[in-house]
Amino acid sequence: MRVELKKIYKYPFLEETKDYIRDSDISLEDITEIGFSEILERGKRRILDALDGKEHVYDKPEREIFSYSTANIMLSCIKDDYLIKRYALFESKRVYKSMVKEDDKFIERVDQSLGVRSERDNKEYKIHFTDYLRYGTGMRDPRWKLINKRVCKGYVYLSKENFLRILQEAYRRKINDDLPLNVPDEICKRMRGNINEIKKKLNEKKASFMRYEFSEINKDHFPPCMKFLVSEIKRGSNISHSGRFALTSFLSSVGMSRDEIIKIYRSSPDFDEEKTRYQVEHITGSSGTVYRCPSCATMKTYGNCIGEDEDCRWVSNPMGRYYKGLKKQLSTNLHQGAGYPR
Amino acid sequence: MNERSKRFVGKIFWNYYSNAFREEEFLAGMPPKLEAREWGFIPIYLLPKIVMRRHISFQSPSEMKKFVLKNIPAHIYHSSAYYKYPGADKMEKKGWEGADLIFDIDGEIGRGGYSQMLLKAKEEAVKLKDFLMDDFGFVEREMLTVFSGGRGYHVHVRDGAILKLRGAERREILDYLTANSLDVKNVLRTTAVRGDYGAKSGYFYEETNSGWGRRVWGYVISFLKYIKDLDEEDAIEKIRGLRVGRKEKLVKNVSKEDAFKMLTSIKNEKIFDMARNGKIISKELGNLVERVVESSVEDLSIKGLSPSVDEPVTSDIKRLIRLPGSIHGGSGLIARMVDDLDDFDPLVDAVIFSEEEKKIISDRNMEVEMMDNTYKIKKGENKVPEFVVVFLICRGVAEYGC
Repeated sequence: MRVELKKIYKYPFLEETKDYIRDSDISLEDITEIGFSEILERGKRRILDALDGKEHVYDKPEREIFSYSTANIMLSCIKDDYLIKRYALFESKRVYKSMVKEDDKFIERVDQSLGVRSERDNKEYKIHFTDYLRYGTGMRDPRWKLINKRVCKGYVYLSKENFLRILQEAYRRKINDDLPLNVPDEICKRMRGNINEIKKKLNEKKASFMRYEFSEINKDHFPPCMKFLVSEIKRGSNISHSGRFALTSFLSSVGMSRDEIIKIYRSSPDFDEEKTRYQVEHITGSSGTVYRCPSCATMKTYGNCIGEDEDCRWVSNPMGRYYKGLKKQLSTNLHQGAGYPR
Repeated sequence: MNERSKRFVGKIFWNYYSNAFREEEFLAGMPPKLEAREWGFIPIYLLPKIVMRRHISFQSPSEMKKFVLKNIPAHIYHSSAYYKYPGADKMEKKGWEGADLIFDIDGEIGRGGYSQMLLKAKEEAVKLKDFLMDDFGFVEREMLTVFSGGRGYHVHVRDGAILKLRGAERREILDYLTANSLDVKNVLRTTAVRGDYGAKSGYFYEETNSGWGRRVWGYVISFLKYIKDLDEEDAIEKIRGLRVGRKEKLVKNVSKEDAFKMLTSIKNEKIFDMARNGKIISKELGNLVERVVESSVEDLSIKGLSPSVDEPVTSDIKRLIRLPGSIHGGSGLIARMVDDLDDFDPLVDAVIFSEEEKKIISDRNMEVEMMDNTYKIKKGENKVPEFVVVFLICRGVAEYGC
């Protein structure tokens, strides 16, 4: 049992892990008792580490195995969308890193509990194309596009690493979908010390990316596709690579500074200041090329043309739509005499 | 379409539908879970104005029959999606529960007229079905192929696994089939090398491990083999005639000299054998291979495939698809379900009206190919079989002459 525990405690979604917890006969109420404060502490740590973008360190399997549940309870008490997404991202990244070290036999046990059926084919894993699309479509790198994969008789063939990335994504979605759980107020109250500490950190984090309001740049005239991308980021969703590219080049073209653009990405759950800065600088000209906003046709191809409306007619680039709006307003203003001395 | 033509078309459409609901073949065209579909109709009496009446739902074919006979439609559509409340008037209130995967192939209008265009569309439909079977693993009975009644074909896939796919995921499939955003470097692995590979230096091409990689490589090999066995003059002409795609760097045509060098490389058995084993090296061949790849993607991908992709968040007329077995009001042809594409001739098999001669007044001279005949129509009054009459009135180029 010891040996198994050492292996399974890292994977809270495994049936064996759930069995272990069940057999231990420790109830929710028990965990909130004083004697279990270390488990609570570790649950909190999991969440705070995710918030800080740090990797959670595991050393005591017999404690850690319960900390997953306590983290879920705390997240469910706080009920914050951003926090849950952020946690799901880091928790799934952690699991990916452990899975890479496991052998194929163990991985077969993992994929079943995440609902992705796979089969091994020599050194590759094959999964049904619908499973692949479900989890692979959100990936940013073009290498993940179906067209760049081997697809045969309904199955997509993947290297072990690629396959584990798919499992990571399946796990991330599972956490996102499962949380928040329905937790009785009574339980939340008993954990309020830990919960308040998390909330405090969360608010500090949110304050650091205080919603940036567009000042001189007239946001009202943003085309619907760009409004959508901005709102997705504000909601804490991950947007695709092509979406980021489009938005960054657009914002830069309408005159927003690099720092201002980076600020917008700050509410993204996987925000990484250094990476974002690098990407934004690259797109806005550090490489010698200033990338222009992609055309409407390209936006369509990548599924980024969202909310196309009447004003998009006769426009072939989102920039055109923006200028059209500005011009229209300018002429209305002139018409009404705005801007003239009275 | 004037009032008299409308009355005529309305009457014969009514006749068709009043019998159709008793026929096994027509009922077989009804989509599964009929009660969970949204229906849309374009009524004849408002033509030429296209008014879509949608957000309609039925519990049974007989309920639908009553509606159809009361409001004779020029076009009948059903949603590819299944909804909890298919009759709700707002998309967000319908409760999306899944959708069939439907591919819509339209022939491109070009030289050769309608019949040529239909042939071209058929070729693409055959290619599409091969992709769906070879790559996506569907079997024949999971796919329903239907002549659209207009310019092409619809292929419906209703296999359980695809029903819940969302818009972006469906688009990935479409991108796969149309080779949208396919980059040559993703189908051929290229490394610049020096050394002893049968050439001093050049590029080393390798097959990549992807469905498209294999397809493209197979094309390259059979092209090279084909060229190798031609006589010299033809081979050089073929090489120089390789269609060059949008890639600007390739726009420059191959000179006669270079084409000759390329041909010499192919004729070298050692090099050709390497190619067969998935590897190509040589400076001259590199340029050639890139050109062949360009044209292979052009040939292998499916053209005219429009995104009949279901997008649960936006409302779009594309979400509705013509009911198999219904009449296309723009041609008078029936959206016939097709068992064997090879044998299917829409201008015979989708024709349902009689041979009884009727008068029409045409607004131009033209030729119509139908039922293995060519009908010469002159401007003014003509006497032709009823199926030609309906076809021309529906196309909007003639009026009924009583």
